[in-house]
Amino acid sequence: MNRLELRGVSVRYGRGRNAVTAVSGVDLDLPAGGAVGVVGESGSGKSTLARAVTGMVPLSAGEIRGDGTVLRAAGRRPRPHPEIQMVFQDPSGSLNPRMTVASGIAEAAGRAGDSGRTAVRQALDLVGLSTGLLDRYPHELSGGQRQRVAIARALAARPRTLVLDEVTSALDVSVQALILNLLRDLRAELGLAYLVIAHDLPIVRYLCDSVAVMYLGECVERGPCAEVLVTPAHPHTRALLDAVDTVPGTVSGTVPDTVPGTVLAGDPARNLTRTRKLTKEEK
Amino acid sequence: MHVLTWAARRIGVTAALLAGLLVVSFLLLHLVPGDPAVRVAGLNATPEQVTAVRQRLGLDQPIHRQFIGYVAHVFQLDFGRSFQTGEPVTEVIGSRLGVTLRLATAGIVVTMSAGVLIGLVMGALTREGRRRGAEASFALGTSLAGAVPEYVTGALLALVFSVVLGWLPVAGLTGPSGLILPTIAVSLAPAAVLSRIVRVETLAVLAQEYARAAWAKRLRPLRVYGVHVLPNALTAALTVGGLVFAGLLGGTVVVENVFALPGLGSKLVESVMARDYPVVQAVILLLGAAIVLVNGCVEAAVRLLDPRVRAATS
Amino acid sequence: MTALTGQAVPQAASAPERRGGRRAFRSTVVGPVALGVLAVLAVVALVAPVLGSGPAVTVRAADAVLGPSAEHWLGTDRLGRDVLVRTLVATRTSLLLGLGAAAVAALGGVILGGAVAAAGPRTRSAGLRVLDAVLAFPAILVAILATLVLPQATGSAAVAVGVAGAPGVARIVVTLAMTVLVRDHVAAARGFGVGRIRVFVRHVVPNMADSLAVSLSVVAGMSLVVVSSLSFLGAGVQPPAYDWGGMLSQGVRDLYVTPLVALAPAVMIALAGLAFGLLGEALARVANPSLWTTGDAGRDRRARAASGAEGAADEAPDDISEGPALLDVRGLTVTVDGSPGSAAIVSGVDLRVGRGEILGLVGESGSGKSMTMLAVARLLPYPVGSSADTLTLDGRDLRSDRPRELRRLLGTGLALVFQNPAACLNPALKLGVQLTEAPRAHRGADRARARELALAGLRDVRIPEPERRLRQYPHELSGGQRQRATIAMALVTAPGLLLADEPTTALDNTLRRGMLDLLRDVNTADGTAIVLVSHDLSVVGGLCHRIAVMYAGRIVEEGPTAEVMATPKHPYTRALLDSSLTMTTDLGRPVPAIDGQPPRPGEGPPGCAFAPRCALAEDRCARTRPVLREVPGGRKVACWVDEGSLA
Repeated sequence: MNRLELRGVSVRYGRGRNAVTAVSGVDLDLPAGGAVGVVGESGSGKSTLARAVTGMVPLSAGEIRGDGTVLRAAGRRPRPHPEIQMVFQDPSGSLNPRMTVASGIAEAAGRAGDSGRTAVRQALDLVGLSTGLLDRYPHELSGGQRQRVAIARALAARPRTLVLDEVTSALDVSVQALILNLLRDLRAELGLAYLVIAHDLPIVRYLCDSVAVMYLGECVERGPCAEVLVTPAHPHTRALLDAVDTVPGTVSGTVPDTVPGTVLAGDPARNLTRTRKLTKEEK
Repeated sequence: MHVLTWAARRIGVTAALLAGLLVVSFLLLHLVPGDPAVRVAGLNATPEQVTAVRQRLGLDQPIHRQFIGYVAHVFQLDFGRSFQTGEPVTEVIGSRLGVTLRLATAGIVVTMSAGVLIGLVMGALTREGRRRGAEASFALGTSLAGAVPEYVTGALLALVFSVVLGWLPVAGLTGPSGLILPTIAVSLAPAAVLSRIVRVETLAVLAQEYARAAWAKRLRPLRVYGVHVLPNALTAALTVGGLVFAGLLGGTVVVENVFALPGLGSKLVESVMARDYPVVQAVILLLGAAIVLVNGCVEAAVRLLDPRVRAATS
Repeated sequence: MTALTGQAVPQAASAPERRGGRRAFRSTVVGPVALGVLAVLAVVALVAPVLGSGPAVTVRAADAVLGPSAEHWLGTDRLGRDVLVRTLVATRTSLLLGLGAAAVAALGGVILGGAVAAAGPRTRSAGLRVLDAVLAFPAILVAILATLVLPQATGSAAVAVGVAGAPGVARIVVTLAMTVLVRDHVAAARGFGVGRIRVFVRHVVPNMADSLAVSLSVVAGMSLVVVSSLSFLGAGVQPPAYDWGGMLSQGVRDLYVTPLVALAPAVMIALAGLAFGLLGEALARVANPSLWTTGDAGRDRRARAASGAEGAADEAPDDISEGPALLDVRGLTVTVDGSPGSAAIVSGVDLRVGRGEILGLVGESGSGKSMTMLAVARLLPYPVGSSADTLTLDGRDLRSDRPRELRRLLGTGLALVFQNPAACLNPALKLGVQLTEAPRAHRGADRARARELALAGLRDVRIPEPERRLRQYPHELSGGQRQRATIAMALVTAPGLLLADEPTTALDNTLRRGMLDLLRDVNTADGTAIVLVSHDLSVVGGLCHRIAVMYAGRIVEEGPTAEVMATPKHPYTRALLDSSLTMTTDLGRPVPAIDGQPPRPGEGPPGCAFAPRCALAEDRCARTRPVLREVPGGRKVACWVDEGSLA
């Protein structure tokens, strides 16, 4: 699969009167070996989009095509596609605490015996971890090592596309840098395509070629990073850019008092309800 | 409006549970292996007697008719007559209800107040891993109290307070003092279990940011525990309140037998032994209905106490 | 039987550590004791019926109701049978029936619960509702009714109790399975194309097995007790067979004459029930690593701390610039358990915060920055302890250990905001209560005055309709309003100093900006001094007048924000700055990263703690620790490397 196309992708949770639309009518192209960032505030639907792409939630409308063939569509039961893999935010939750590094990666590789062992070693090698860690359990590793194992495990499934869901936000700044460098190297080395979900714009700018801005479940702006993040067209993109913390070395001037249309933190369900209401008002 | 919706849904669930209870109590007689009529008439009865019983109970009718007849009788509060004594079942139950009601009420009051108070105090004393010794003794003590069945507790209490010390009557209902030992026997295990739950919940609340914020406001400890911790711990106590009540009721059945109290529980056991089905059916219906209604009330109380639940269910 | 229904469902364990688990089991003491008791009971159950079945049933009217004697240690019952022998012989029946009941409950419960857990969401919620309804009925009642239906045989009691216990086990199985099913590693495994059954076997079952074992141990104890209760009521084991419950039932009748007849089986039931219960508790501790005591590890740390301290360079008393400070901290040391020899989390920290100043305290997780702040507020968690040469707020000494005095000194002088500001509000209390209690407690304000203060506080943080807010619960406010209300709550006593511990870490960029903005307003409007603790230099950079960088429990660099950010003097500060991404980061090069990890308290080299990770480290760096020295420009740095080599 060389090219991933999202057409009119919508995801709804619940049914009847309580249904809320988390993602609505999103179009997105992820070219082979490309990297697209999806940015937005918490509650904007970016994580739900990632889960839709990886088949963890069903689509309520639209379809996702890989190389022109339909991979997922509304009304179709989502099935796993090994060529699309996800790396999760928190490695302490995404690694099975009862499985060693080796068995976790072997399971993802789907191969047993010698070829499985080779695959495990290759994957560890790719993320720069020593094979001495093979028999360790996740809790015996540091946070950075754990996230590397999670990446190695995803790679063992031989994906063409990696969905990276806030993969550095649970890590210390110094460890973040290590993981980001690794991800850039891997992309160059393996020709992987990335779908990067993040609320932190500098990370998307560093990892991606182009970016899509999500707001209240919809994609409000997309284009090359060099354009969207430099000369934003949509007011919400501007607001997000304004909210990026000041560049170290300069003490910031005044800041806009509130960002227009802020979706407020809290429990996700509440956010989604607000989302629905606001989208209605907008229309 | 949403309160009404919630209430309507809750009433619907209660009605469904009561209907289920009717079915179960009805089927009880039919699930017993062998011919119910033979069971009722006794193994030595002549075929004529058996036929007579079958007709009298309507057992020759198709099963759905029997059920309709059963329900009709239940709604007229007519449960038939006791096989053992020939008295109307309603009278048998009526004479026994008071004791059980008093014992269960006393038990639940003691359980709730002791369980919440002890759990809260122990939670406060052992927060952040303080006083490991006290925590270990508490764990051991509540394990013991929770593991010893009510009738053993009852027997031991009777032994100490009635036989050795002679302070309280050993058995039978002789005024209010006769209820003291049974109440303790009924409450000890549920109170121990509840106090453990409340302690764990207290520790959980104390670890929350809002509890740290309350300490940071430099409030007096009594205010922190009383105003900030207690409501949350109480909610936890109430959510398991239904289960505690079920345990208490089960304990009541047993303890009435230990202290020879003329309550519903001792009547139930006696009737089960004697295969006195009409009485068994009626007692099961009554106890079951009490459980269903109490659980409904508990849910309403939780909703009233906890604004978050109120928001989530509306 | 209460505990059978009222048992709190244990959480599925997350991270097991086998060696640690075994040590935890031993350290519970009760675990091995419970196992020992059960082993003795098992031997008795095997041996006693073989040796004692004769004397246990032989009726000797002449020996009836004897007291304890050399021949009959526990006396005899109404029919002249030896109480001790009968009690021991009854062990086999009692244990077998209890375990049989537990087996029925476990088997039925696991099958039932597994089916419900594995079903689709609709079936599952319906199944759960039915289970909960059944669970509302006392197990003993269900068991009594089940004996009605079952044939009158000894094994029936076990089946009846097992049937009564099965729904409880099923409920536990469903709860455990559901907590595991929502974890990311299950989602990841599905993503690899691992099949449904394999996911259940490899990912769900291993993660709930420990907790299930705990529950089943408790269920075994409860089943034993319920079976004996049934026998006591006459619905269990039927004469001439007997178990403890049946013996007790007869003994209670003779309580006045021979209390031992009732006491002996009562003690056995309590003992067996307790042993199973305690075994479950010990297993629960093993299954939950957060309950493991640190025992040995703590001792190791202390030992290492004691040896590591020798290599430290002479502590030159720092000459802190003159003039009255709002907060003055000198020589603050925080140790893991407060004793002098224990490992230090914070060592010899000096901090001065002037009136109206915003100080940023920066460092990685574990650098000691939060502990420094909590030590200043005198709110350290047990058993962490602190000492300081000077600790004054507005000239008043805060080193008192008397709660009353601390309340007086700190109640109005200092306020705190924690990591997730919105979570600082108690969900069960209206805002009115939470905003007025501090002024009423510390400012002696009456109800009306406190309300005025609260309203003014809400207005200051620009929350609309403040009167209405006071009558609302926190969940009725939006997330942003909750954060603002928390700030208002902290400031309602008009403290001179606000300590904010990572107040933005849990927030996304937009909300983070709002929070920083609010803190700045508070500072400029009221002159409130702020200590902002954060791991993120970019957060601190936009707000603070001065920055102090912490590493491994010590301040390594301090100075005005602009200067520190522009020309960091400590290699660690430089590395931290370089490794954080910005919108102007050079895309052509890898991000400079700091390899390795900071040392844990009490570990690390005798010299500079950063030396092992430092690109510029020299020989002496690892040997001798550099002290924090003043350098031109009102700055301080603790580094041997010449500032010239860093530029």
